[in-house]
Order: sequence, then C-alpha cells, then structure tokens
Amino acid sequence: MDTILPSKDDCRWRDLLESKITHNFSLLAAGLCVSRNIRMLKRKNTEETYQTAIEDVYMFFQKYEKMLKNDIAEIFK
Amino acid sequence: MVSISKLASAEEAAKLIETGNAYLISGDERVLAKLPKGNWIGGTTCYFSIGGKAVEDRDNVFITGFPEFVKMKCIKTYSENFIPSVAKDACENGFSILLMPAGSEPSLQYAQFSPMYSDLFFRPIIGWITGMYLPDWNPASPHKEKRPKVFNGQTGECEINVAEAMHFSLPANKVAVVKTISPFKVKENSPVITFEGNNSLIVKEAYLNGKQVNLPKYIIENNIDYRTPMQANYSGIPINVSFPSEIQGDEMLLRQAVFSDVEYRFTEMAEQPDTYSINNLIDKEKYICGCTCIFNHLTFNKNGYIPCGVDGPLTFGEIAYQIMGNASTYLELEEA
Repeated sequence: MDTILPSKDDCRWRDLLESKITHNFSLLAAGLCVSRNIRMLKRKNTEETYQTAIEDVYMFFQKYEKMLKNDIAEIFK
Repeated sequence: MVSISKLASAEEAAKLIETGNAYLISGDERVLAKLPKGNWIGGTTCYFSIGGKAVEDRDNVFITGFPEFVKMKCIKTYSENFIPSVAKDACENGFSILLMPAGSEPSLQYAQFSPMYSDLFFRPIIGWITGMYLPDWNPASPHKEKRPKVFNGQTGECEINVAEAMHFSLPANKVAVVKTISPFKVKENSPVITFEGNNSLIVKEAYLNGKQVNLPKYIIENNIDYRTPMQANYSGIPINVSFPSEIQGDEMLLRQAVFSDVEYRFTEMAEQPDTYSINNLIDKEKYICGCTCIFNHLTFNKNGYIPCGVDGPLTFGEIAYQIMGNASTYLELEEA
C-alpha cells in the first residue's frame, strides 16, 4: 500500500509532539501513544528524546495507517 | 471456535471447555474451581452486566468464546517482575486479554508503570481487575479465600498474586480495536489538578491551578462529589482515575495511578441519554468481550441500567492498554 504518511522529517510531526498541533484522536491507542510521547518530550525536550518520540509515533502511525486515515488528513492538512 | 458471550452454568461451561476451544470466563471462585482443565483463563466476580442491567449470580459464569478465525497463541502467567513484557509476548497482529486480581502485585506494577511499557500501544490489550462477592472480600486478609483471584485453566492454578493473559493472533484481514466509554464529563468550573512525584496511587498533596493543597481535605471541605472520577485528556481520549469509596484524613489511596505530567479535572455525570443505552452504540457483529466498572453500577445505576454497561463482568478496574476507572472497555474485531 502506498503510504500517505509524511516523512519523519516533516516539521508537522514535531508540531504534533510539541502540542503546537493539537488533535483529538478517536482511536484509543493513538491518543494514548501520542500523549505518552508528548509527555515524554515535555519532561525532557532534547533532540535525543525527540528522535525516540518520533520513532515511536511514526511506527504507530505506520502500523495503523489505514485506521488513522482521517486523523492523518487532519493533522497534515 | 464459536463466538459466545453469555451467562452459562458450570456444566455448560465445562462442556464448552472440553471442546478444546479457548474461553474467557468470569465467575464466583467456587464455580470456576469446578471447571475442568482446558484453554481458558478466569477471573473472580459474581457481578455482571447483561443487556445494560446488573446481575448478581454466584452459580453461573460469564463465558466468552471467540470466532473461528481467532487463534489462541498461548496462556501465560505473569508475576510482578514479568508483567512489563506482556505486550512483547502479544502477537504482531492479534490481541491479548489480561486479568489481574485487585490489590495484587502485578496489578499495582501495571497501574503505575504500564503507560511506559514498550510496545504497549502497538498490541491491543484488554482486560480487567478481578474482584469477588463484596461481603466476603477483605483486601487486607492474609487468607486466600478473602481475596480476588485469577485462574489458569491449563494448569488449574488459582492465584491471588499473579496476572493471567491469553494471547491471540488474527488473520491479516482482521484487526482488533480496543475501545472505552466513560459516562463522565469534565466539570466546566473544575480546577486543573496536577501532582508531583510520578506514578502515585497514594495521594496527599496536589496542585489546583498551580496552588498546592491537601487534596483529600480540599475535596471534603469543598463538598466535591468524589463518587465521580478525575479525568485526564490523552489527545482526545478521556481517561478516568477513581477516588476511593471514602475519603478521610489527609491521605487517600486512588484506584488508579496519577502521573506527574498529566492534567486532571473533576467530573460530573454526562447527561446525554446515550450513556444509559450503550448497547445501541455497540456493533454486536464486531463485539467480542468487555467489562464495566462495578462502581458505576453501585453508584449511578438508573432505572436498573448501569451507565455505559456492556455485556460482561462488572469489574474493579478496566484495562484498555492501561488501567482506567469508572469506565467500560470492550474489544471489537474489524476488517483490516
């Protein structure tokens, strides 16, 4: 399947993880996963932490891309 | 395997177990103890939600069987030290059902640390904290018969201090989706509640809009209705943390952990009628299993109906990846 996910270096990922883009997920696991990484980054806002967070969130979005289609469209509009 | 979700006698449950298929069973300890060995896990309770109404039944069990395309990978017992690996043990495409006795070491470890477990949100996990017949329950008792339990049907073991999980795989065209519903909404005038120190179940001090207070005293002095939980917003997902049944003094033991980097708010019962007719919102074709917080029944039962009651046991903590309170959680299987 062709991905609709922007690459990991798209700045909107950082905006999502730094809460500059706020999004309400309807998929429980997505809300918990993104929220976990936002909180981790709030605790320690370093490049290393960001890389860990983006890896985790990106992998999650990849796995559930089809179910998150509307969320992806909204976040990356 | 056949998809089943119903109350059944011990004899009927035994017959089903003897088919060799996998089952998830909730019931009174005396009934679970009678069941033959087989591919099942069980958790103690004698309270159930059937069609949105509460049922107390110490003679029958609530048994869930799974559709034919669902394949059981294994049943695994977890002590406190091994519970963090529960998601790693799960199938890449599948789901896991996790049962933990109330007050057990794995349940306390899971309550405090599961949000940090690696892989947790990548492998759907649903389950509940098991309880028992309330008049017989003594959480402080050293006697096993006074404590909630889990059963491993394969070994026949019945324990108060381990968790039992069943791991299932799904075909590529199916996906498991864990859902939760809360009948509570944030109070409009609620202060923002934050905590210092991480992963706390025992709470004294909190910050309300940044001002330090003793939270138990604040709740009593300000007549806060603590039958309703605190609620946090996890990127759009409401997650409840329940207060104890009674608050006295300057310290309280919460039913779920609070985290230092999460903002909580007081709640009130949502008024929309849908919260009392949740069965209409659930797709019966997709529904596999679920549970409903017993406190929502004990405190807010209205006209016989439990707020957001889903078919299954009434439980003492609901697991939808992490532990939440005052909620209903359930598992659906959808087309991938």
